[in-house]
Amino acid sequence: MNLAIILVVAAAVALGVILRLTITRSLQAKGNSNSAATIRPIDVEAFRNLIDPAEDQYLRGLLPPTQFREVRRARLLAMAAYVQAAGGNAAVLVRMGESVLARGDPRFAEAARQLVDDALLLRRNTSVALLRIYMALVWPNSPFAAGRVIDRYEQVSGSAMLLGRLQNPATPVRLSSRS
Amino acid sequence: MYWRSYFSFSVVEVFIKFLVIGEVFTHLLRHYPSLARLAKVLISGLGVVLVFTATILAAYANPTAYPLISATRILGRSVSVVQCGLILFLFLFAAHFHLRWRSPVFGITLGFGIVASVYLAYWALLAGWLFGQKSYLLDFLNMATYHICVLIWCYYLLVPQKSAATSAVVLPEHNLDIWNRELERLLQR
Repeated sequence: MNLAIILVVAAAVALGVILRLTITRSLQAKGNSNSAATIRPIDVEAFRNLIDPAEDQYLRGLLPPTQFREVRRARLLAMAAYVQAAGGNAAVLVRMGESVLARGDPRFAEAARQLVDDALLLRRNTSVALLRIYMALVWPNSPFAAGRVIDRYEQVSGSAMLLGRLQNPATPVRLSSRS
Repeated sequence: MYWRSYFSFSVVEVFIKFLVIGEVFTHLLRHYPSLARLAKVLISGLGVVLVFTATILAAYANPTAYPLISATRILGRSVSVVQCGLILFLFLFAAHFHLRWRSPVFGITLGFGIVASVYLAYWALLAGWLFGQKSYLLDFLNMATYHICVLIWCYYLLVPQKSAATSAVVLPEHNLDIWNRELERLLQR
């Protein structure tokens, strides 16, 4: 009896999720043109500074353990915000690349394909990095490296700029900001 | 005799459904080689977990006086757990990475997802023997869902796909400094 009810509820949830994703997909297909406006520029240098292991080592030597854990958690939360922004930008760039590919223009196809591939890898890296950040929040003393996210982010930036330059030479995409 | 035939056809149906899910998976990732390895690892792991869960559910099923009917219902429930989980994974994976579904593939998967969810509830209720003699009411619901899904499949397979937004991608603001740096890097490759 209980098992049947649990499975019925699980089936209802699955159906709800599938229908919701279907509706979201159709809405996105209708309002595709505005996606570039949702890109959030990231200060890559500040991000790089935040994940620098040498900074952590310095703070570890400087602060008492309790205070270090608090600071480390605050820094991890800031990292999570950066990584989420990078992941969000990657999603937007996937949509932009797909949109260009759907137009079927052979002049931009290769650059768009490269952008989609790089953005997907970035999205994958950000998902893994977020998991590791949340794990590190539980164990603040554990080492954590998000260098791959930054490297991939800069690579995606290059791909986006190449595509932007090809499409419209006057306005390349800006994915990074400098303080 | 009827239940033996039903059981045999159910096994064949299960086999075909898994083939279709595999085909959908291949089509979805065909244009995304960069994600193929991750997707294969994830779906293999999820498949193992789902099969394990379905086996546990089958092992704890209540024994009844009609073993063949009971076995058919338990098989249906176990298979529905795995299918529903796999299709849900496909939807969530594609949504997370913003993968573009080709319209017919999406239609097939959507229909399969709806059918798998309703079948899961259907077989769960049947395997629990909750409806007794009135289980024919569930059959109506089941067949109605299936016919709706046939209409969905017809729609996605027969109605031509609308072309995606064709306007040029509007790009954000200009940053010459970063552009120059990226260009230098491109030239160095």
